[in-house]
Amino acid sequence: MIHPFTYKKADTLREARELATSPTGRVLAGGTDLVPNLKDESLHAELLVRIAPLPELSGIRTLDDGTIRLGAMVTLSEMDQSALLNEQVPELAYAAARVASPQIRNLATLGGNLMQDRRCIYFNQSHDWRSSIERCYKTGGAICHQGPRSPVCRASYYSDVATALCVLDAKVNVWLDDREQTLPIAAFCERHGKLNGTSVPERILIESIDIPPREGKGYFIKEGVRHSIDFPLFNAAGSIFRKENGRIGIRLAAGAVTAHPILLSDTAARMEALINGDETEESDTPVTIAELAMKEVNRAAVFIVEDNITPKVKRTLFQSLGVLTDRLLAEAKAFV
Amino acid sequence: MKRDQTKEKPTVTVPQRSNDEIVVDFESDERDMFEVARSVGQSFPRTDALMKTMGLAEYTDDLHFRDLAYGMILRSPHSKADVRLVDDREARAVPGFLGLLTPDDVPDRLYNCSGNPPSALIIPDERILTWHPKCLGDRILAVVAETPEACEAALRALHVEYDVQEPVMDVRKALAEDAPQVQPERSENNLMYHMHLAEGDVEKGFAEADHIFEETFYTQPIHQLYLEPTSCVCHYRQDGKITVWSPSQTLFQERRILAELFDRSESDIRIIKPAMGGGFGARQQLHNQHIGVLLSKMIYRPVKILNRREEDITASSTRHATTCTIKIGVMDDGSIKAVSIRNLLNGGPYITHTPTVGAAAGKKFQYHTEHYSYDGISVYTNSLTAGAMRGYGNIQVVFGREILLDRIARALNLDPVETRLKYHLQVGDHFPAADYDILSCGIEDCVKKAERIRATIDAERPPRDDDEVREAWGIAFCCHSSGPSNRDGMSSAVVMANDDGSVVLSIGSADIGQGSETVMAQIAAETLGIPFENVEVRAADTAATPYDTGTFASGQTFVCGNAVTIACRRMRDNLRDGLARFYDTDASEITDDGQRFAVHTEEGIIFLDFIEAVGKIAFGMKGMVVIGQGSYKALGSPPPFAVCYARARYDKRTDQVAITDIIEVVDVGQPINPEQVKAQVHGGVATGFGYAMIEDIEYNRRAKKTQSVNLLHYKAPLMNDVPRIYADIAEGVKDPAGPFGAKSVGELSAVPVAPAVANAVARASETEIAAMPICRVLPPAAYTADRRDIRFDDTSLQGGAR
Repeated sequence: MIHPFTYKKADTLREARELATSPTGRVLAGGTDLVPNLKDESLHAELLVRIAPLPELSGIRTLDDGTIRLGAMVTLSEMDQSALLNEQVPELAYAAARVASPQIRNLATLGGNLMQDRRCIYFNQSHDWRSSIERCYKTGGAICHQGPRSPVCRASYYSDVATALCVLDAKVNVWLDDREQTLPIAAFCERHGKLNGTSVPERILIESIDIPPREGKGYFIKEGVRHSIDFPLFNAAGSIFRKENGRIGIRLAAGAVTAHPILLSDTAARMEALINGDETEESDTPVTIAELAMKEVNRAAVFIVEDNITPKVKRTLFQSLGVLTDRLLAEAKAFV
Repeated sequence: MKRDQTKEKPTVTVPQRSNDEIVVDFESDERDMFEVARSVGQSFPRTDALMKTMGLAEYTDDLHFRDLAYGMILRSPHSKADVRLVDDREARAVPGFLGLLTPDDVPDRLYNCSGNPPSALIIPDERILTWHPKCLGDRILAVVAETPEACEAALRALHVEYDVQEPVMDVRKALAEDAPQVQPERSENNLMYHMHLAEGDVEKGFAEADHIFEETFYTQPIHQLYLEPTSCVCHYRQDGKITVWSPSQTLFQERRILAELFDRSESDIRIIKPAMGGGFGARQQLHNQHIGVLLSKMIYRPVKILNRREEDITASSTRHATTCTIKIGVMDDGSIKAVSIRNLLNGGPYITHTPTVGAAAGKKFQYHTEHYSYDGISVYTNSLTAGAMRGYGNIQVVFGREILLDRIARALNLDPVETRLKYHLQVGDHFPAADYDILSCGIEDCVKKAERIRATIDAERPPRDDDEVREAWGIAFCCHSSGPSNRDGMSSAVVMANDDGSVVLSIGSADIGQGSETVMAQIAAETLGIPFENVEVRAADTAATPYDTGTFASGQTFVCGNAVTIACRRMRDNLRDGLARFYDTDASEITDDGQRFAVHTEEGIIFLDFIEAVGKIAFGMKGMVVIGQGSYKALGSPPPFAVCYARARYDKRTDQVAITDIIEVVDVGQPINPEQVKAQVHGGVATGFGYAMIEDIEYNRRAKKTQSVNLLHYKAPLMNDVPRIYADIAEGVKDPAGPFGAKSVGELSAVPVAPAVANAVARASETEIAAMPICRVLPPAAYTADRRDIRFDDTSLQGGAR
């Protein structure tokens, strides 16, 4: 049963900022992630702040310099169906399309997806189920059931959208510490990941997300138990683009393996070097790009108990990075 | 569903037809013109389709009651514990609190919740509430309150202490010498039941065999996952009469269990089954009705208990996990010399159905073998209680059997289909260790049709084998039973005519969503010779409809269908007697060809169809009330057969597997309603596909209990995850024992899917499969047919395209 809470509706941006970052405030956007957690009592809200459809937080538009600005309250369905996103940043549109189910995407927002709780089979359970185990870091306790000796929460961050934003070098415009700030997506995710592994309130309001203009292409892949509705077991995105100096750039990211998406910078650098002719593929080097990418993910990944699969099968899924890197390398030939 | 126009009888208008009697010549051929449209073999839409589609059908939770109160159960959060209620004062102070039941307040009596009829295998070992929960979700206490919220608040306010104990979850550990006893009152060594069946001498057979193949297969526990949550409304009236509304497959058995638990006469208890959202075996047992009755008795008001999904998954019943060792001795030509099957079943802490589930596969080995032995060994553990589920013990053994036969075919370089067919049992044969003969078998037509479908698919999309992808087909055969294979099945029917010739058919059999009421109406219409629309079915109310063993073992069409046929034939006999009185003649002067009565008079013959005959005599001066009744005791359980082909797609780059197509052709004898049969096959394929690939009730070692307790963690395929399904029916098969030649389809359709999938995966990926779900070995390729996915191609399309 949901604990009693105070409900306030913010009608102006000022109000939204104030309430959302108040000591007990929790933003209710689409509610598709928050409400189930409130029902399970894995989370409690003292003050639930409903954000009205404020113009500052809505819509997808292109700024004068070509930046695509997405309001935090844009729904995942809007992103999936946006002609602009599908043309300019298809990996983001597709990542949004792969989240949950049509009904959920109609409600779920971009800001909410980024702010989603890190998930774990011990945390995302009913009050009754959890009543037989100790409280964990995320629920105000002092243990992580995924790794009882771990000093921190090991739950994973399963946002599909965040992984795609990472390869787009997106910026998150937030209200934080009583001022407007712009955080690179990776920094934003790291901060969220860290605080979200505790019961400390984040006191932040996402207002919009900026995607700088890109001359290039991008791809997103998602692995799950079912293609119909699941959180990812693994996801990855790759972007190939022309840099200001005319060279070809590559960004590669993977998600659902730790507390935030990880940028596969070593692999991306190696790919850039190959594409731009800085080095040639050495025939005596047995390590392929795909293997390099898998190693990079393996190094960063925190393997936890997840539904339906074993760590071995999860590692197997990293092989799909090869499909992604092959595609990017093939694309590069046409690009140069 | 559109009726096949070509099969429909043309409507015949007879010019001279009026209220006057039609007198025709003996030899006239025109008699056929009066034949009504046939009902059997026609795909009528279901009688409940409109109300369900409009959301107007009333399920248990939709029923309205004055003074309704709510009940809720405190369930164990531990797999094994001893419980003490320290303090209930705070709970009693919760606004709306009406009452609390503890294990000390309920009859201290053991029972077995199984909805099977009483037998030596249905051993009682369960209590209504217990201080010593033996599995997650076990019932400890119950409260009754004005609202569900007050129930929850009261349960939360109870101060309960648990002395948590180490559970034993694994069958082999449970059978170890030092294992803790799960049910000390019943078993010293945790052995629940051992069923041994044999024919010939297996050791001799293995010594003579050219090759011996052996493997131990593991099948996981899964849940039935009906859509409608388990619920009941129980009303204990001041006069001691009890009424229960609940989704029930076996209401007459539940009435018996309640009567025994409460020392009541069966006539004091009435059980009514409203519209029902599935059962798949899980409602073939008593669930919370006893608690509902006891809570109602405290306040003499109706009490509703509605399970949350978590309660349904943890505290109804699961499919049995099995560890099944199969050994097959074969000759070079693939003929089978000897078979031994040793099947260990994890029953959980209560017996329920387990011994019969353990026995069910024993007499279903459908290939010739001289020497055969089967051991079904069921074991007590602290896993979730296992019970009945579609496929009932057969599905687990067929999984291993059909995989091993496939390996044999590959090892001996034999065609897997031809070899199975060559050594398949035929009409007149008997299953090893069984004492009844097969009376009908359409397996060859199943194969023919399946091969034709496969050829069409392969012509459209030739199987790939290139650098990236390898595609392959896997096949499996199976059979099942029509009604309980121990011939427990019994049913009855009463059919009553109205004076306009329409009838009301009253049956105790429960339609649990599979459409049996529609099928019974078709059988009645066909037997009575009246249009389908003229039959109204009233079913599943123990005070108003006649006895039926229950809806299980896929027995409704066969068992209840036979009862309906008998009742309808009797009605025609009674009608003939009535006509004899009306025409002042002897009944022997009236003949009945099943369509029309012919009254032989001196002027000629008067022909009357059913409606005309009823019109003559029903409710009139010389008339009578026309009723037919019949009961049927199953003398056999004709096996239906099925052939399943699955096509797997293996991604060589990522080791991912996808199942793209599943063909299943069933021999169900004469299909009463072909589209319903195909719908059952679609459902069965979805059940089998989820079982094979992803579904699992997973045990969590740290929490020492299952983690898959809700639809977030328990993953079953959604419509879009299911491969393309091609369902068809073998033609020209009629079982002599079935009504109009019909056999069963419900469970059958689920049984062959998992091994067909596993064989396809093994052939495509070159990875041997011996355990489910397959996603633990090879990751599923769960990407969509979205053009934005870089791996999208036309052949990767799964069932539901975007």
